[in-house]
Amino acid sequence: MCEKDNKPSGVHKKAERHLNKRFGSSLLDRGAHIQAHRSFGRRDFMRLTGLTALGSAMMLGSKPVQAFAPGALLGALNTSECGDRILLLVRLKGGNDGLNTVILRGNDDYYNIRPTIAVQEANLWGLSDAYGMPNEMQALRPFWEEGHMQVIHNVGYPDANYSHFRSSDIWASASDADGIVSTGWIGRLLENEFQAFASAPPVVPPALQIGVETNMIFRALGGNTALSISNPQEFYQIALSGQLYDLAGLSNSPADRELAFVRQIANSAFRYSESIRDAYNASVGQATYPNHYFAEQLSIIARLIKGNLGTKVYLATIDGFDTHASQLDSHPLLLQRLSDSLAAFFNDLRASGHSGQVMAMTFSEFSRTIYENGSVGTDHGTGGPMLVMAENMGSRFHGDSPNLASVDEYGDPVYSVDFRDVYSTVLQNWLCVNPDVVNTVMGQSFAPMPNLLPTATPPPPFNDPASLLGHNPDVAEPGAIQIKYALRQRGPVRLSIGLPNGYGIRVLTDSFHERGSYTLRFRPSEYYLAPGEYRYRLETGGRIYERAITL
Amino acid sequence: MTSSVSTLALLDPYVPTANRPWDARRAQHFFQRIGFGASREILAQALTLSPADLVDQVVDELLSAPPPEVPYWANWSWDDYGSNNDLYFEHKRELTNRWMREILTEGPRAKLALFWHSHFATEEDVYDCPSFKWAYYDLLHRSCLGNFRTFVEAMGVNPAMLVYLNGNINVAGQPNENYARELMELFTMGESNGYTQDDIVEVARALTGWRVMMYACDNTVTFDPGRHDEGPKTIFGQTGNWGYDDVHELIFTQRSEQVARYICAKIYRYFVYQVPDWGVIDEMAATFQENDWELAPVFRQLFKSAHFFDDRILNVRLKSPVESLAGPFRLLGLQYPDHISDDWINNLSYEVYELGQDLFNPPDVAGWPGYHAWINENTLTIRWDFMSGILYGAIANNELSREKIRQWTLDLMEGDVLASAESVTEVISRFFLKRNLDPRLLDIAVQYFKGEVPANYFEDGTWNLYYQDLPYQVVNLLFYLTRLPEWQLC
Repeated sequence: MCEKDNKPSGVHKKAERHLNKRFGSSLLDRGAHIQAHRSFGRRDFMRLTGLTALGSAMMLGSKPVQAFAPGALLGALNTSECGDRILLLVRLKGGNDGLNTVILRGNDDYYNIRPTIAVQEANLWGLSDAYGMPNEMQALRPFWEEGHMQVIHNVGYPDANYSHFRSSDIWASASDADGIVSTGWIGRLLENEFQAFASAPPVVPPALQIGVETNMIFRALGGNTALSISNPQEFYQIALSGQLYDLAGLSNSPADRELAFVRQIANSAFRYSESIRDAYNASVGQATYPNHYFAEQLSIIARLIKGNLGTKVYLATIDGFDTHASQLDSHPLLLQRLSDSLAAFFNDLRASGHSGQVMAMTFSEFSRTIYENGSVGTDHGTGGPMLVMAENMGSRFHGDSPNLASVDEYGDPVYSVDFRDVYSTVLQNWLCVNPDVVNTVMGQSFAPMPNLLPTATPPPPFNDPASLLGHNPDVAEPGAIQIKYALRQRGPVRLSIGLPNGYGIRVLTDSFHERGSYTLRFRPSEYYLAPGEYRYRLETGGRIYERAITL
Repeated sequence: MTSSVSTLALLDPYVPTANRPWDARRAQHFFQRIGFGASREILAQALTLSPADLVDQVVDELLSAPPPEVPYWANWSWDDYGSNNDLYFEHKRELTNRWMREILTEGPRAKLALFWHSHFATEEDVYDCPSFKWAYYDLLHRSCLGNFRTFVEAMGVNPAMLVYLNGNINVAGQPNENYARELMELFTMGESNGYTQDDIVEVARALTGWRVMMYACDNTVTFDPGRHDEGPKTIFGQTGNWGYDDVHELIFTQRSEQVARYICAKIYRYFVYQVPDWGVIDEMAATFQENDWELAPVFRQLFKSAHFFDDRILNVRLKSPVESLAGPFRLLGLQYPDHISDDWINNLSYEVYELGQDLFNPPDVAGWPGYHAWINENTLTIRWDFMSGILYGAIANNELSREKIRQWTLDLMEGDVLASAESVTEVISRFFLKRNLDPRLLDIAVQYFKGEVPANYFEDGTWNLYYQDLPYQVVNLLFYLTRLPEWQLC
């Protein structure tokens, strides 16, 4: 064997191991996706970069990849009530003060422990006799009164963590409080959805966020499934010029000539520019949005939805909720911005007939202490309310509002709804994901919440010739691996395993199969497969299915 | 079509002026070209010297550097390895990683050796023997700034080269032209630059007789008079019973102008700019010949020149994979082994291989084509992916590195603990990219730097340079900066 086989395959594993650990506030990586790459053909190129966000390329939007095998999300297009549904996640960064968002009207405890910052009866509007919202959130009132908004009380998770970063990760990964999971819940959904995305990526971003990508919601094992556009200016640059980096304005100096050379390549490596430009140009901005950063994010997202971009999940972030001091100076304004922007967003989509497609859901890493502190602010707490908005979903409350008279050892009310129940419900009943897939994505089984959304009919099974079901260690034979697959039609089948760069391919089976389910058992050592990252591939019926495996 | 920067003054010394100040940007330019970049501390020290004194200091250090430390297996043959394959692989890898470590921690000699590696290219995949690999590595490192003629003479009888270009089987009666051709075409004179096909045949005959026991991996090089062609040869029109030394005498005396110009052009294109400035190169060539093929005077003159420090020469070099990936380690001043583990050195060796710069295995005898060939849509995105692994896996994940980054930032901000996020971003961007970022890009960079830190922390005073997560913020910023096309230039 040549030396290359003895080069450190540990490079991948190691990087991944490093990256699986927390980096404090800086979970920006997609470097877990360090993949070997020997030859630089187009195909490898696509596989390597996966959907790794901004600039990660693979090919231009004008050249769709035929091999792309759509999963249930896309398979559902036009075939069920949820085919064109979109989820907008709204992140209230910093820890939103839930008690001042959904007010416990007439609750003596509330007014007693918040003598300065409590929202007075005169300054709120009623969701019901028992609950209200501050008047700064008036823009949402019609949505509530006309049946387009629901409130989920006191959403949290067991053993709450009070760190912004850790708790953000828990909400993003949907892990338990003590679990370290390096992927996000939407990332796992999309990876499941786009199993072939590495070798045959979609031509539109499956998910998109505006803001620097520091949140792990969209992270999958194979990379980041979302396109991150760092700010509106960058978005407009792409939407208007179809380019990420400006080529105009460079001189003919040697340095600028060389810069133009690299910029040009970076531009053409950015694969989504064309679909974004097309969607942007296919629509017009209509509604008047407030003039701030969050509103601008929603205005851009609305424009892409109206232009039928095809992206399923969006994330917008509004920052500043970490109100430790002088809360009255900032929190009401933030809520007003949030409400005004969401109202403008839905009104914009209504005008173009797209509002029925979109559900918006707010979340925050935690709520705040129920007591106000000495600085007229609040500190880190636990569960808080989530707002869910969708056309004609009805106006209801879910869960129990915080019981201020009964707090835990840290002085926080006990949460009433696990946020993962909400996620599961949204996946199953808004995005119409098959319940089995929901459980796979969530890593455990959570009960869908009754009445949040009408029960969706999962789309009919996609008419694929086969499924690559997955792999697991063979318990009966230590060291052996089982790969499971199913065929819906008889035909030749080739199952192989190799390095992520497409080299070192070992064929595990190459034979004619009848319809049915199969389990293939093999011992990596018999194929001289060193520990490391691999991909296995099922080829049948003209399609290719691939999954990653760590040996 | 690109044109050279020939309007510049030639090799007059650089004299700092208000318009062309001697500053961190220019000092970094020097270190990035002669090596792989410098930390803030090294730049600060450099700026206490004049440009000429700095160049002399670095060149003098190179000239007085002790020869590379000899590994215990330097003369091992297959007999010594027996059936111990693990040891064989370990030794091969040891040397590759050693060079990578030098790139990450030492700089200039590793860079010069790499330049000559690409010039006198051999492929380990062909000679495949650790002791040959050592002999080749040792020669490149010892000779990188010595006498060029001596270098060429030694290279022709280096075990790796004897195998790679078939000097080993170039024997009387059965001449093998391979080395003779490349000696003139690639190593000294340049293609079709003063020799004929007949010269190649005759030079091959003159070089016969040298051998090394390649199948035994025995690095003892011997001259076997019985294999040497004793007949008369006619080289460059001169007939004699020429041998190995005569060939070099003829090349370096009869074709001295071609050699000087060809080699100086190669130096220029690698260390200054890929588009040659022939006026400058001619001056370098004159210096080269006047100094009897000593390399140091040529490098001193070039690096001290106004031409080298001209604005138009800054940021025009397209980084090779090692230059691109080693950058953060060098610029942050990270050290081995505290901040840079053996594992990560190993990883980097692997990553540059993936990016087409496998140390000891250039693509062919012409070395790495470099320049625009380094970057396409594919390799650019791989550079990004690898860099994010380096930043988060190798750097941010190391507590000592995080401490170092905080101190580095404090020093870079001259101790201004309360500096704004915007100004920190601007200063770091300038340090890393040697230019002022376009405001649109700078805005984005600020957002990366602010990252996950709650926005109000920047307003209410919670955030300053002692903020717990500052090192991560810096890494986030570097993540963005190293993705910019600007990063691929130096």
